[in-house]
Amino acid sequence: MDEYLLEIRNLKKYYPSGKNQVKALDGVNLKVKPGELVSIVGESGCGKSTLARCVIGLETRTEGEIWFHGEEISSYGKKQMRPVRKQMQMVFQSPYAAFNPRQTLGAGLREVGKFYGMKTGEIRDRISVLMSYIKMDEELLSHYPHELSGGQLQRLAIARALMVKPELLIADEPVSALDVSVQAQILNILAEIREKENMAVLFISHDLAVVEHISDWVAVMYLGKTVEEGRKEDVFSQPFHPYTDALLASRPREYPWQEKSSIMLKGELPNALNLPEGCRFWPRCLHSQAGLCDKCEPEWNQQENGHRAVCHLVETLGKTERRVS
Amino acid sequence: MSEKKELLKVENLCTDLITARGLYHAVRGISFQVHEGEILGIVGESGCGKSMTVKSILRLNQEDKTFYKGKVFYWKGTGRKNLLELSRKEMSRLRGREIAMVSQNPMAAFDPLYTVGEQISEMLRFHKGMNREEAQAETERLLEMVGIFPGAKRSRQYPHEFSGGMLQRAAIAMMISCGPRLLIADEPTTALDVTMQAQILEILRELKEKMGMSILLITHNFGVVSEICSRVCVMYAGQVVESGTVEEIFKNPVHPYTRALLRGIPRKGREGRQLETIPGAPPRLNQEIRGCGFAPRCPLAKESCYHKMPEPWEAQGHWSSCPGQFCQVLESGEEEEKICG
Repeated sequence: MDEYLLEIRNLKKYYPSGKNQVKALDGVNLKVKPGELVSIVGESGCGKSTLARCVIGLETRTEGEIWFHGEEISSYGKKQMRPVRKQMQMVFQSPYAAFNPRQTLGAGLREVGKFYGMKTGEIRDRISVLMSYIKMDEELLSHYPHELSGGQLQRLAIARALMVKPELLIADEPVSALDVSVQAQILNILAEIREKENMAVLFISHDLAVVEHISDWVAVMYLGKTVEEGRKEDVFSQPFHPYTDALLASRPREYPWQEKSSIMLKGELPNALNLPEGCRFWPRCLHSQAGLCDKCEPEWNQQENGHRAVCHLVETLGKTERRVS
Repeated sequence: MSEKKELLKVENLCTDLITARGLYHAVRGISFQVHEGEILGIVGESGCGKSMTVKSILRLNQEDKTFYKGKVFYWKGTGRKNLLELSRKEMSRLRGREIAMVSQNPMAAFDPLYTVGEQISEMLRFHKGMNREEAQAETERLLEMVGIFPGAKRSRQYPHEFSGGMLQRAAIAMMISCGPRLLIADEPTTALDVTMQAQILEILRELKEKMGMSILLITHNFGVVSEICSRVCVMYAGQVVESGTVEEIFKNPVHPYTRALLRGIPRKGREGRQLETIPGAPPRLNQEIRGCGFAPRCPLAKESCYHKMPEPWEAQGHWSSCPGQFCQVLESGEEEEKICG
């Protein structure tokens, strides 16, 4: 238990929709070690953000357990969550929406410190440390959010989340709204802070290049379930699940002279109201076998280094060479 | 390169906007050409004037608050016309029929109160004079062409019944319904997943190959460029700073800005390493620029760069507004530091 900072067990989140239920999360298992960067990838609608919101308590889960630091926090109320949130902070996709437009940025940062009971001196020191991490001038703290660019605001949003020295940072698509050059800044900063503060990060993204760049561990989600997880190098070089394979193949090539990949994922995510029987990926799967994949749900198939996938065909497909290197 | 026929030629286009906060120089003298049957990519960061350029080509800005300078030639039949001099009526006949545009947000392309089919048919009836039945049949064919099945049922649905990616494909179907010769796609995949992006790019590629359509693709994603473009223009502060074939730009980027941008992309084999970033911020739109707009952020900037533009560099269709002195020789960052320092 103590080996992991965060452990999610069989987490489910259903939203009622008329007589039916939307199964946004349908049994997610995930573990994060202290100081580790775990990425969650998947198409939009697969439940990535819902997962993040359940972990930090912005949504209440329907079923399942969330263990943080040896405590089961999924049933905690607002008051009980407060000390937990001191160790777990979140950064959102849109930096513009993250700040109060009527407050200077410095006031926004100080407010967080005060809320968690830090002393004025402590707050001041912490802010100057953070500003050096994010390579911004402290003078900017007297400005208002609208005076800054998206990249600057996102850096400040990270700084604000780090005010209380959390052990886990949840970053929900923190770079998707930003330009390439700004994205590079944020990724560098995240990597640097992670090293200096020994902080774990739960990184949510649909950008595979970014994920490959910064992660230690990768979990691939499809329709409310993790379908594959493993060390970054294993998942990217030898994906087990046909979905991961297709996802990797749909990346645009890095250089124009590279060969075009031939596997394409057709169609889009099926409706989460009405999940397919058997393996939830079979209607889009290139390798699905009638009578097996469309009938029974596959189990986790574990291989070396904790690399595992939910697919009936891991053994059969396992050794096929990937077409894109 | 030169034997290809030009379709659109933008010459030194400037767009100034009157706003409540003063005059904004959104486009500062951009020049480029689109040839027949090619996909030209325009890349740049937000605020560099990419979208403003295409809006100016189609004259979609508020007319009384916008000043255009320069020329936008469009070849039609034997002659060429300067789009900036056309009357409003002529311009509206050209939009959709000759030049069509797909924007980033497909939701904005459709009226939520009409079915998708009605809106596509409307285009066909307005521009091509089809009757209701003909237009409906054509609409279904177009929807199926972009991979929306079954066309008959889908055409009777409303925009909110479509997902984002499907709606973007329907928007493309609508835009190509009148067989335009030039399709302008402004960040068509930015709001979409990689999987849907791959499908949309495939559709664009097919349009080019099967229908010989020319495409002007605006994007900030170099991956998209490398995937389908044949040539690319890199924009900075309202100007093209470098242009050339995609291979050339990726292999031998010359302009310091292009080089920095390409190095900022996370790539295979360089995981965990520091990504190159560009210090500072792009110039503000209301700011006058003297000399090179990139100079304050440029590692190679000399005193003279702040006063006048450097001599452009050109070789075999590859053009850069700055020779970037050391480019050809160097690949590693270390050596560069040595020489610059």
